[in-house]
Amino acid sequence: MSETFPSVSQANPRPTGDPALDAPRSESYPRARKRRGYLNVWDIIQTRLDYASFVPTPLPDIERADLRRRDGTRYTILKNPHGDNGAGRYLRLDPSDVQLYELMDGRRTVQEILVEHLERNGGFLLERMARLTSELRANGFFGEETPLLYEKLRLLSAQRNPLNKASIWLRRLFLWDIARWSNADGTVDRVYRIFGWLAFTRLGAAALVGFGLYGLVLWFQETTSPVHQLVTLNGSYVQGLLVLTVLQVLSISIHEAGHALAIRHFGRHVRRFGVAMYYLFPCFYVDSTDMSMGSRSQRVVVSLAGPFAGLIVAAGCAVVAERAPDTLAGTIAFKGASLLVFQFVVNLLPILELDGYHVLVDALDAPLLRQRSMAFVRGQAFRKLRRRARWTAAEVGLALFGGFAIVVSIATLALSLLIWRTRIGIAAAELLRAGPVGVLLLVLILLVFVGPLAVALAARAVAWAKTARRLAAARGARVARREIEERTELLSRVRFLAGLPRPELAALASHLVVEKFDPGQIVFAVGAAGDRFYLVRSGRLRAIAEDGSEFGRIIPGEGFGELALLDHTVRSATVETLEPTELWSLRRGHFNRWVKDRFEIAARIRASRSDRETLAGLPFFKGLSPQELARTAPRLRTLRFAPGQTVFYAGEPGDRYYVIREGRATVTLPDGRPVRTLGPGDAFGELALLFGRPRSATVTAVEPLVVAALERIDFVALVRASGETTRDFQLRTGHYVGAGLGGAVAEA
Amino acid sequence: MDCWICERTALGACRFCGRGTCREHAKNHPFVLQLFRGNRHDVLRALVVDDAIHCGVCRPRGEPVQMPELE
Repeated sequence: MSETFPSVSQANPRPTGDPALDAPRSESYPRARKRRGYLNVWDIIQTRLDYASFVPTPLPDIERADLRRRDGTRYTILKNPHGDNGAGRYLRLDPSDVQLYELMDGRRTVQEILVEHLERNGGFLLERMARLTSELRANGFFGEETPLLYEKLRLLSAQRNPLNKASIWLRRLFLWDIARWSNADGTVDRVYRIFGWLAFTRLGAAALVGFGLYGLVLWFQETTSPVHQLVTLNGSYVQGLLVLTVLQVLSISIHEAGHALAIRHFGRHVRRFGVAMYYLFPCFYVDSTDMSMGSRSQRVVVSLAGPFAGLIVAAGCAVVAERAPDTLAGTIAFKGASLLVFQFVVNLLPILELDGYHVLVDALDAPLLRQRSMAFVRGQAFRKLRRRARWTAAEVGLALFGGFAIVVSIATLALSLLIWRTRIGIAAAELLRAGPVGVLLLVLILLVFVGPLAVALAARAVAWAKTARRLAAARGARVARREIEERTELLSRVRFLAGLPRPELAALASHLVVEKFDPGQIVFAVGAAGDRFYLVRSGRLRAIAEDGSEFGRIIPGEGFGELALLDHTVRSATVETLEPTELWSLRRGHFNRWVKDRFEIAARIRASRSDRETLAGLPFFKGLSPQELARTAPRLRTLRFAPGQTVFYAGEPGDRYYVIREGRATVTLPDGRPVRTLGPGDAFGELALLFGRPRSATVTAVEPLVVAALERIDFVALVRASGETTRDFQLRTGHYVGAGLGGAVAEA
Repeated sequence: MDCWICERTALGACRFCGRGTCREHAKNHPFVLQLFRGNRHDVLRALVVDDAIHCGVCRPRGEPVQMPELE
């Protein structure tokens, strides 16, 4: 195993030699100065919140260990000895993090550090810097540990969840951290100085391991003796199990003491020392996080120290059991030895996430081995097998570990069931016979051992239900979004809503209500109160006048009923469906908010009506239904011409039809002869519209001229939408050409 | 008032910055109504609204900003 011992150092900023520069700042931001005798609080806050001007100043006594992985890559562990109320906080840094960290000298701002790093190493690591400073700040490396108020509040709020509450209580039943002390070095140090150090000398270690192995052999011999019973005590399973539980707690404490002495031996600190209720019985524990500052070989020794401490005590118990087999002490010693040997074996099994696993992880330098191997076995391994792909050595290792872990889990489950049937079941029956106290004890045991599993299963079921509900909601939201998009698209084509911003159209769309009608059904009747505006999604409808005559058809994409809403009048026509129809309706309240109260839209609706009335008054459009006029009006474009400006010249291709709204214009033949003057309400250029012929005369504005122009392409589109052929339309309106507007204009 | 994000009708205002927010874009965030020390215990306590409306745009800071200039 390649190994590099760590170099542990204090990581305070490097001095420059200049006392002015070397004096670290006591605050993370430069102190603001008064201007004209005043402090601008907002400026100060602005500066405080400006990340770029933040001066990261790590504490002067931060410890640092530069370590190397098995493959040679470097990493660094930082320790803030003041963090977590003196227990210490740790942070692992990559080489890039270290480069940034080394620039945090208490004088440079974040901006300066980034620029310096860019110049030195050629990388602009803004995101890495943000993450690093955030982690350093959260772990108190800049001094005071920031009280993460909202995170704590969220946590407290989450704890109110009944399932979480139950889980917390049940967890307390089998593991309750009663009290803990930071920096337990004093106690551990005393024990180490008295006798603990002996175990870490070559001779002492050899003697203890030898004694442990001797005890192991002795215990194995004793297991064949009929005198010793593992589970019962004086023939009682209850007494036997109670003694085993107490011994279990003691053995855990012995195990932890082994770890603590090893940590002390390597000069590291026992981060915490505590008393906890483990399965309803008190035991001691130690926190060995400080060993993350140690080398891998040191961590391996610390991991092994726990199980071996147990083995040595087991050997002692085995000796007592062998010497005094018929006494109570001998019986209990045998149970203790059995338990400690069992723990020794279980703890060294690399499959369970216990000491053996940590030994393996450190020896192979394979962090997260279990998680990675399980993930590999669940997914990638099957895909590789199916494709018959080649396996790397690491993948083989992951597959072996993952497969072995699954086999062991199944075997453990089977063993548990066997023990339940052969031993615990009998003990439970004995407890039930013992009366109320026994029943209470049984319930407590069930709560401790089965409760957490039940809560975990319930939590998993709740999580699944929540996920299912979230997925269904997301699916529903997707459908609703598509629906809104479709409605918005349709609304954007409504003439009086043209130009409305997309978000407003979407808001309007969200208020539309779907209404379905069968063929022949009346949507509203003439004389009814106008309470909603309709948009046709599918199907065709017809508008019927008061006298019963049909005066227009309404097709998908069109809207109707807005005028009655706008003017608070009754319906002027009956609308009846011709085929199965789906309408989207907008109620009066929403219509008023979104349409009526917006003056430009209301004006557009009224202008559209005025345009329709103007169009209807023109001979060219005589015979068009109100609906056709309604379709035509919004396509008219308003054009303005100055006096003397030409609208079009004779001989130009004709592609527009004009209606004069304001002003006057003269019509001149190609030879220069003026023919006539046109005024408001007059129209010209219909030949171009109907037949696409070139202009036969020139039209010039005499005074400021405002015209409404209809493009030929729009005209053809309108005719198509009406369901009529252009030829039919020409026939229907052709009698006006050359007649209604006067010969000269007709020729134009 | 319209939603800061989608410009649709706002149904509420962010408790922290006042931006308008619609139901779809409204988020929840704990809000401290009052901080106090009890008579019998010297532990700082807070009256809190668990799920105050938050626009999701502004970032309420959980840690105080140092203002030594005002001392």
